[in-house]
Amino acid sequence: MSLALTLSVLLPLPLAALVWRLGAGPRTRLAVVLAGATAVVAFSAVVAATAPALPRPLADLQIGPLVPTRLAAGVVVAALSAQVLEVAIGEGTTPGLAATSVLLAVPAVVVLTATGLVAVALGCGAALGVVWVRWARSAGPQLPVRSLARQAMLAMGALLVGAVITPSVEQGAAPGILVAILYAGAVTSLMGVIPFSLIPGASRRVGAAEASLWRVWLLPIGAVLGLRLVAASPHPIQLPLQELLIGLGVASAVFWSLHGLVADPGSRYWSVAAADAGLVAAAVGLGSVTALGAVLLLLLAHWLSGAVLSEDAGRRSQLVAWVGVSGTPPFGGFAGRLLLVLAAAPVSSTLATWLLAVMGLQLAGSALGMRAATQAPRRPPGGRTREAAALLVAVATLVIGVVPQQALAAVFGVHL
Amino acid sequence: MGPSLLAAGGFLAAAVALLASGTRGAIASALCLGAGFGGVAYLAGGAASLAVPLLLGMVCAMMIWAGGLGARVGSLVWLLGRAPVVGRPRVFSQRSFRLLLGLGGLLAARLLSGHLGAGTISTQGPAFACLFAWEVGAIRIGTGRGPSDLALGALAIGMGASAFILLDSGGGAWQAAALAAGGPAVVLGFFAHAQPWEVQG
Repeated sequence: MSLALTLSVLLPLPLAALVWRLGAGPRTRLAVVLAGATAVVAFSAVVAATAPALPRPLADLQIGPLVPTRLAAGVVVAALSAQVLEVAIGEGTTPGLAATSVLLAVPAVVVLTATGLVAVALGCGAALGVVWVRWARSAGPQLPVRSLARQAMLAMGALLVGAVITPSVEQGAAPGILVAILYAGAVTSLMGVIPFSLIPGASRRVGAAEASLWRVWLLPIGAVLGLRLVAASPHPIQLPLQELLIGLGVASAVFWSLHGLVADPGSRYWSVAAADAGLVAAAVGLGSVTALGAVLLLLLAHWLSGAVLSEDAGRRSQLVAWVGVSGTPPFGGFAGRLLLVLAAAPVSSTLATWLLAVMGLQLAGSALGMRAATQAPRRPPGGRTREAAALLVAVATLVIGVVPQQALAAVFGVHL
Repeated sequence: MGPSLLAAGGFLAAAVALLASGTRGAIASALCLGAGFGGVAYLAGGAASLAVPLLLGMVCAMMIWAGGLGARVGSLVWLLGRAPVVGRPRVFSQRSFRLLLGLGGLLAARLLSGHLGAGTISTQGPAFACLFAWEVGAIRIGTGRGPSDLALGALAIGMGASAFILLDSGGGAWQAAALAAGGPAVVLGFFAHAQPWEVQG
């Protein structure tokens, strides 16, 4: 088992170099598909034997082993598949981007499977750092890109310091809120949630294809890390951490869903995605099984539709994709947000009301996106195959809302 | 040497990392942090604990020194692209600003250090040094004007965390401690010669 896991951690390195070497075009796409297939085989071999829900203990001061889980396998494989979609459907993808995406599988596997928080901290810093280097290459050291570099170092530092203070909290000496702030800072930094909402700004500067690295890798890594921290932290840390994630998540969701109403058509998708990242953070804070379902469904919806919607308006498939993420019943975006409201209702009616308000704002923002998709002049679709793939993916965003339980079971092995 | 003296060494190392600038400053910071927090870790695990931060500090310093040799390849233009170096007038110079923030950090470290427990060690002094190092790291990252500043901040946090892990485990968790300080040390060794985003205004 450890051999298969080691291979799955180390394989992306030569594959990333291979993708870089192959250059743009069909060969790059083939290489990325091969990388995804390799990861599927490696992880399937690993998780076939045993599949615990979440690896524990997380706050261990030892390095600890890597424990593969079905959830981690699902996240890594789905993220690689989402990047394949980005390469296949999106415009402006380059060999460097494909290589970076394959490379990101390494810190992702470490963060998702390591039991020791020191290794997780370095993995988080590495994931953010790789994206920073990539964005600095493509856009130069502009402010959002510099902020990502700071976030990388701060997230790593916050997790390291949180890990070493946690034993003092368990002894009753140190205040739990201090560690909760550190953990929440690291999680929101990965997820692009307030106070670390640099993603929509960065997406304008680095381009839609480059910005997909956040949607595909950083957001799910942050979400699963947050779920693990909420589940594994001692009680004095757990409660304030949940409150912080819920508060910051809802604030971020409200801000970005309002921003989606006034954003220009080219960047509206990123506002909607950032608002959904806020909802994901709130769901992570709730920490229940229903909330886990909401997290995974929203991630799945954006993995599927993001490659279509982040492009400039003018594709027929965009209308279908907007319907999928908009919150129109019973499709993907609606199912995820509804599960979140169902998870929040027993906890606080005020929270449920705020979430319903965000659902409405997201629907309104997406409706503007739908209108732009229908009114924009038709662009050359870049080949029938590409447009057909985009349409297929957009339809899949609709389908996951109709059969959410089956979708979650198939991709993540999670049974609601 | 007594615990108070060793803890004071950790504090002084963090103060050097707070105020140092330039490539020579990064080398001095790496050496001081390694020696200072090696001393702090010595309280729990003896010479074996001392060796972990000390060796990593020395390796980091050698990486920075080696990166400076050979036609300035360390500017890392091939990796990060060309950074426009700009300057702008500021009320405080960067070092003065860090010093002011560091004085606030001193107060915070003094208040919090009594709340940390690490195994069987009396932690008031060592915890103060580690807390101050973490604050120095956060200050350098927050006020950093280039990859080198950010990496040095990460090293200060990593060295403080490494020493505290060794204190907490009685020297047993040396692998985790080495990882905590080693990761940032490698990052600093790699990025110490990167072109800054902004020069002193």
